[in-house]
Formats: sequence, structure tokens, C-alpha cells
Amino acid sequence: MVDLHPVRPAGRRRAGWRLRLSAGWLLLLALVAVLAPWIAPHDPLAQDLFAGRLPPAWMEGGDALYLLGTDSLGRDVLSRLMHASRVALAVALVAGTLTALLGTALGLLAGFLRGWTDRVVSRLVDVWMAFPPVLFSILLVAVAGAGLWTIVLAVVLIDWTRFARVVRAEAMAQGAMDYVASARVAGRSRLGTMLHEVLPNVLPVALAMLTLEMGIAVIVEAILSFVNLSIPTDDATWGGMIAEGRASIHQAWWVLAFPLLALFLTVLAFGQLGEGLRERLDPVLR
Amino acid sequence: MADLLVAEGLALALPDFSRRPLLGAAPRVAILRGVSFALGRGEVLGIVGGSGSGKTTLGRCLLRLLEPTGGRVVFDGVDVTHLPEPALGPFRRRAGMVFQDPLSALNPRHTVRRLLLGPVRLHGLPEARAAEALDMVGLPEALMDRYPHEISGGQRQRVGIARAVALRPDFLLCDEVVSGLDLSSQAQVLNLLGGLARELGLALAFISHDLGVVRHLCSRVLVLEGGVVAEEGAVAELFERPRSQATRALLDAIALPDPDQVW
Amino acid sequence: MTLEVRGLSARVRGGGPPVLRAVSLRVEAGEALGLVGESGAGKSMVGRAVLGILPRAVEVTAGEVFLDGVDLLRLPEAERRARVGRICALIPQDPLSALNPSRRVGRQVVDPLVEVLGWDRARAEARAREAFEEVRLPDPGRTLRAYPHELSGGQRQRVLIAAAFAASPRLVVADEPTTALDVTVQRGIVGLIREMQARRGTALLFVTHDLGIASKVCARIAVLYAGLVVEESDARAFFRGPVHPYARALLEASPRPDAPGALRPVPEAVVRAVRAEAAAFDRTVRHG
Repeated sequence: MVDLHPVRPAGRRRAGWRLRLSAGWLLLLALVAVLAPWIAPHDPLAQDLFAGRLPPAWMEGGDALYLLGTDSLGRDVLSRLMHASRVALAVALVAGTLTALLGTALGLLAGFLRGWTDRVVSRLVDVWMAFPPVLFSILLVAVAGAGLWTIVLAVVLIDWTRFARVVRAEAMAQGAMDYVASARVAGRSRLGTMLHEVLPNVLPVALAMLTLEMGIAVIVEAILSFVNLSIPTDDATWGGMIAEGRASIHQAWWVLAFPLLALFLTVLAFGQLGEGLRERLDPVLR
Repeated sequence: MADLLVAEGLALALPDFSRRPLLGAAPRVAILRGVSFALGRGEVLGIVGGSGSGKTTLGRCLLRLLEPTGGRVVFDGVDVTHLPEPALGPFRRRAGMVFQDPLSALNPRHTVRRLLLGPVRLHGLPEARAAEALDMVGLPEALMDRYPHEISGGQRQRVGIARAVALRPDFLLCDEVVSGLDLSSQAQVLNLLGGLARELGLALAFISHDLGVVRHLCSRVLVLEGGVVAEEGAVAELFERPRSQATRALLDAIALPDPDQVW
Repeated sequence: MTLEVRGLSARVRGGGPPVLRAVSLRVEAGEALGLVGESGAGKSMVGRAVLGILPRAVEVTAGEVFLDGVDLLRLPEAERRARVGRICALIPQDPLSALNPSRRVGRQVVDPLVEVLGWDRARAEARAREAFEEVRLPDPGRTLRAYPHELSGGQRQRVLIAAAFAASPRLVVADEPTTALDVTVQRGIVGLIREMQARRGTALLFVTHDLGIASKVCARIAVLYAGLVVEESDARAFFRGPVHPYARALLEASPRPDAPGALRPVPEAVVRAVRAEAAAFDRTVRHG
């Protein structure tokens, strides 16, 4: 038999710049985070009051020993930046993933199974979203104590609703499609249909939100460390560095600027990564 | 020989949520009001009607996608009307369906291979059935790794048919399967269905609003209107001596490619 | 008034595949031309090119579109829009998506008359009411105030037909106006379009994949394949016996209740031949 439409060759899209740049930055960051103890030029906690507030090496008065300058206590900005990336990435990956898992699972169940599952989950989401997130995290820190896991918990407990809502809507839309009916006609169980047929169609939206969520987690950590509610030790965090840099912004702008830049680039990269991955991996967009 | 599929007084009423009162349940709207017919093995039956006639709902009841609120569906002697899903396994292998819109009936994120293997594996059938089915509908093996949006509408519809016949069912429900297709693809798909029905001894229930298309494929026709059977008979009879208003309306709607036809 | 399209070619932007290949046709006042072909043939594109509403991804590469002697393609954008808005109208394929679900249908007929044609509101409202009566909508006064979802598919299409003919345009492009409708309603809609066109002497460009429907409305038929006009002739002559093999095959593939038997899909050889024609055309464009 003949077809009026020749089969299109299955080509791969040209790798987008979005994906390259964002993945590149994040990979670099990951490398730095893992290797920080070995590649950072100085001990991030080492103070040298004689070398306080030195500008970056390329400026007048700078010292090649301290590439990005030092803060008021003479600590190397670059080393601190590198060590702080460990906290940022850890929170991003763990909090982002856990939030996505919880929210997606509940959203999928609610949107596909409907009935009382949907009623319970939706009610839960509505009530949960009524809690003010900032107060909630402060309360959590007060109760559970400051620490990395507390931050992760705060992000997960606040943001899972975001995933649940969006994934639920998508699951509902997909559930109405004929391919779901077709699976039923073929004899697949409801749960089987949900996992085999609907989940792959819900993943793209969840994936895009996941990378966004990682960016959000980094910001939440930065905010919490800015107000000193994050990890209790003296370890460097971007938010903490920004807080310290604020005080000496006129004399040593670099103490604030570099962590701010790192934060900005990282959150931007996470956001663009999601879009870039979608472009590359989603068969429907090819 | 006993009939393969028998419908007795099928009725279905669904709640109309747009008219739900503040307290209490939504009023029910009757969509099927008692439809009865029998389909023999290897027979090709047309089910026609305008929109709102209940033909799509009837199809879904026959395949237990909807549970009738009244009447019975008996498949090869077994009453499947209210069987729980786990007990419907054997029925599901023997009764298949092809849908109207292949773009929505094929999972957009599954390759053709996965689409065909899914039902095959589910019923523990040999995986070679998938490639066989693709061949039966006249599609090249190269399509196995394509996604639905990468192939044409006619090809998609044929994949839908392949998916259904891979299980070697005894009965196939075709719900407006050519309505969204080009003239040429329509012809191909209709010929394919006719051929498969003969080759595999399939009984077909062919739902359509287009009597012209039905004429080519079906030996007997059921005309639905307002949830009841308005007329039933051999296809030639219906065309030459229509008895009901519904049938006449459908006949009048046929536009022949002929400027002199009174239309 | 005359619509004359000469050598209209278009392609996907950025050096993409051709969508229209030197399409030439002519529609006189009071005449209906049927643009038929399968999906992807480019028949909708011709209508859209004439009205200046091609999708952004498509660009015109050659040709002229003369409306009453003025080449629309050479006019500045604003002037072309004004001219087309005054004397042309479109009856779209899907009445559901063509109507704004959050506005009453009466407003959707009245507003273009006021905003594009500069009529005063009272006159526009009276005209809308007349138009609703003309298309035989039940209880026109009440229907004017209805929302799209309160009407049936057929009624919505009547609203769009009323909107299209309200200002007595000189050219109407009907883009598959019956495809999204229930088959029992199609006849009424087609008859209505025919009637309104005849009453006003409008030129009608009727795009459809259904040869049967085309035979009821159109005095002339043009068959397209891959943006190429393979045949154009008087309807009577066409339906008695098309000349081009592809056009003939298309006619033979139509279901004929009066001549049952296996349907004849378009033969492979015919498709190859017509594709070769399109390829040959592309070569002459490249080298010419």
C-alpha cells in the first residue's frame, strides 16, 4: 500500500544553547562543590586580620593570593564561595527531588483516580497552602533546630503543593484521552494504566518544575542563612556571605557581589536546565 | 450457531451536573433507553445515527468502558454487564476497539513498538505478534521506532487497528474510525478493515454518522436515534426502503459528488 | 468584483518546503469556486494568503493577489488590512474556537461592524438582528444575547455565517465550514451559504476536502495537491470526468452508496506521478 506522507527521518534536534550553558554551569558548580576541600586555595574559615578587605586580584591593592579578595576577617572570598556551593547544591538536589517525588505522586493519584482520593488530596492541598510559608519555616527551625535537614524539610513541606496541583491538572487531562480508554479495553488495571500510560505524559511537566524547584531551594537556603537560621556553624553559605557583605558594602563590595552573582547564575541555570532538557528529551517536541 | 454479542434492553443514564440542585443528587439524563440487537460471528454491523443518538455511548457500553444502568450485554454466552474488572480479562482479549482520533488514542510518548507490545505482553502473547500486526495492516517495520506525531493520520489509524488485532480478538468495535481521515486514507482503512474481518473472521461493529461509508463495509445496519433503535435491517434495504425518519435524515445528508443531485 | 490570484507561491519560512506552487485562479462576483484536495494540499493556505492571515511560519515568495484590480500583496500592511476588512470575510472551520467563549454572540457580530467598518452601534445592532433572522436562528432577539456554549454546533456556525455576510462583503472565504459539524446539520449550513451568496452576488472561495459538498455549492472546481493546482474546470465537466489522473483518482475514492463494492484508494502510481510534477515545478523555480 502507498502512503501520501513519506516517513519523516527521526532526527535529533540540535543541542540547544540553553541546555549547554545551564548544564555547563551546573556541572562546573558540582565539580567545585565536590572538589572544594582540595582545590580551594585557602581554608574558608582561616582568618587573617592583616589581610582584611583586600580587593580582587585584578584591582589595585589586590593580591594574587586572594583572587576574589577577602572579607573583613581576612577570609578568602573565593574559597568561601567554593565551599558554600556544597551547601547550596546539597539542598537543591535533596530538597528539590523529595519535593518533586511527594508532590508528583499525590498529584498523579488525585488527578487520575479521582473520587475520594482526589477529594482528600485536594482538600489537603487547599488547607496546606493556607499556611504562610515564611512563618512556617521559622517555626520549623525553632522546633527542629537549625540544620541542613531542617531546611530540606521546610522546602519539601512548603512546596509539595505546587507540584501536586500542576500534576493533578495534567493527570486529569491525560486521563480523559482515548489512549487511556484504549489501555482499559486492552485489559490493563487502573494502577497499571496510571503508571504505564499516564506517568510518562506527566513527567515532562514535573521535570520542568523539578529544576525550577531546585532553584527555589537554593534561594530558600540563602534566605534562611541570610537571617542566620540555616546551618548553625561558621561554615560559609552564600546567604551568610551576602549578609556579611551587606555590612561592608561600601568598603568591600566584592564580599557581597560574588556570592550574589553565584546565586543568580545558579538559580538561572536551574530554570533554563528544565527547559533545555524538555527540548532535548521530550519526543513530542522533536 | 449462537450469536457472539447480544445486547438486551441496554440503558444508561448519567447525572447531569450542570443542573445539580443545592442539596441532593444531580438529575439523571437518559442517554440509552433500551437498545437490543445481536451480532453474529464474523458479521459486520453498522451502527449509525446523528450526534446525540447515543451511538458512541452504546459502543462504550458494549466494551464495558461504561457500566449500563439497565439491560444486559452478553458476550459469547457470558453476561459481562456487571462483571468486576479483574474478571473481565478474557473478555478484554477477545473484544477490542479502534478509536476515532488516533492522535488521542495513541500515547504520544510511546513508540509504535511500545504501543503494539503493550497489549501483547499484557495478555502473555508471543512478542512476534506485534511485528505481525504491523505487517497485517500494511505498514513497514521502519515505523516501529517512530512516535505517533511523526507519522501521518492514516498511518496512525492503522497502528490503532494493528494494536487491536494483535490480540486476535473475535470482536472489534470501530468508533468513527475514518471520520477524521482524508478520502484516500479513508478508502485504505475501510478496505483494510473489510479484509481483516474476512481473513480473521472478525465480527465488526462499525459506528459512523456517514451512511455512505457504512454502505461499503456493512451487511446490516442499526439506526439509532435518541437512545433507541429507530430501524434495523440489511444495508441495501435501508437505502432503498428506509422506514424511519432518522434513517431518511441520514440518507438525505449524503452528498454525492454529483452537481445534479437534489440536495 | 473579481478575485484573481496569479502564480502565488509560498513556503515555510527559513528556506522550508514549498506550501503553495504558483497557484492561479479566478473568482467572479456571484460565482463559487471550490478548492478541493486532501489535508496538507494547501487549500486552506490559499484562502489565508488571500485574506492576509497566513500563519507566521509561512511566507509568500512570489505571485499576485488582485482584488478588484489592486494587488493586495504590494500594499502596505495597514492598508491591506483595512481593505480586506471592509470587503472580505471568513467562515472558519471550527465554530467553537472561532467564537470568544466569554462574550455574547451578538456582540461578536456587532463589534467588528462598529470597530472595523465604522458603523454606529444602533445600525450595527439592527443589522446583526436582521442577519440572525436571515440565517434562521431561533428567536433572534434572545440568541443575540446568548453565549457560544449555550448554542449547538450548527447554531454557532450560523452565527459565524451571519457575521461573515452581515456587511455584504464582496468575497467570502469558507474554510471547511461543515467539517466540524454533525452530518445531519451539514446540508442546512451548505444550503444557507449558497442562499446568502446568491442573494448578495458575493464571490465565494469554498475550501473543502469533501467532493460531494463541493458539487452542491460550486460552479467551478480547482484540485490541489501539495500546493499545486492540478486541475481547474467547470463543475459539471469535472464531475462527469476529471482530466488529471490524480483528480480522477480522488473522485473514484469517494464513497458511493449507489455503487457499493471495495473503495478504490488513490493508486501508488498516481501519487508518484503527481509528486514528480511538484518536484519538477520546484526544479523550474530553482533554475528559472
